[in-house]
Amino acid sequence: MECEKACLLLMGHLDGELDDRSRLDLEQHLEGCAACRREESAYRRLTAMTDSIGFIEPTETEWRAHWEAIYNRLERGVAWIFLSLGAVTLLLYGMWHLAADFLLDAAYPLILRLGVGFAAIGTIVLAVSVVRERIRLYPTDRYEEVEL
Amino acid sequence: MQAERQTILQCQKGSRDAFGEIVNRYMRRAYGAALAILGNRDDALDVSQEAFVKAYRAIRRFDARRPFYPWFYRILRNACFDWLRRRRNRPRPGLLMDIPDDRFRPDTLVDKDEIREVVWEGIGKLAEKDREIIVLRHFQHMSYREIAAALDIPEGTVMSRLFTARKRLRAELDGRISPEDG
Repeated sequence: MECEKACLLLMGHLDGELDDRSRLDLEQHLEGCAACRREESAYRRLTAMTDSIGFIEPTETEWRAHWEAIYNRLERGVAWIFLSLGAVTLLLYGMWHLAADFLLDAAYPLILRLGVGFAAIGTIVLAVSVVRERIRLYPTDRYEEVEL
Repeated sequence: MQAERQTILQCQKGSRDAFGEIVNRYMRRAYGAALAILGNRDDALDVSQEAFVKAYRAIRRFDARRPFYPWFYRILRNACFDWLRRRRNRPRPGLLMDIPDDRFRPDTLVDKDEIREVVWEGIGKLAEKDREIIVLRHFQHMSYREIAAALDIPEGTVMSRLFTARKRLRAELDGRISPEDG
């Protein structure tokens, strides 16, 4: 067995994932190869350290808040769907009336209707763009309360 | 496993209490995985919440005969990598307001311990792909079969990817931890 393959198999050996045959082949190689024995020892230390580093756990209060936040997000998801449906319905209704009662009404001067029409389109595009950006940035915007 | 299946079936019928049980069972594990990928406590809590919400919305498509966590882990990892992508793409407010990178600051991740801090720093410097496989093996304690399923790669590839990741981690720690440590 070549040392390169032995180093690869060392991973499975340290993780207890080798089949019997590969394990025996590797052990045989290790018996006769001091360099690979040093590698085994180094990787054994590395895996032991990585296994034991751990991390600071959130407190019980934070865990409770964690579930409450998930529950709220589940509930608010439904609310957002209804709110969006309502807003779209009202917007369509408003646009319909704006078109029918004002933009297509020849009683108003053409220049006024064109001005209002372009301004309305611009406002809608801007509003959609701002809302879309806020939604996209909201999860990463943890600095919104920073005062300068 | 049978009990979990019953709980999942209740979730699929819309029971939020049943989903609460699932969250309670896996939230620590999910947090640990997210923390090791993202390197920040607040981000890990936020993204693991987001992953649970996505899992609840998709739970009707989940095959309840299968174990929940490997399926959930794929949602979680996608949420973590989306988060990192969004963070990279976030518009920078300008030189004067440039926000320092607060990821993988060991003092926020582990109790004061020099070796742990150094290992965390080393993990933080790995490429995302290398870090993830270290997380799955050492933090999530997954077998090679479970890792292969979670990453959708052949089982044989797991060993070689772990070798590469550990070799890089070893290089990061080289000279910072003496042979007697650990």
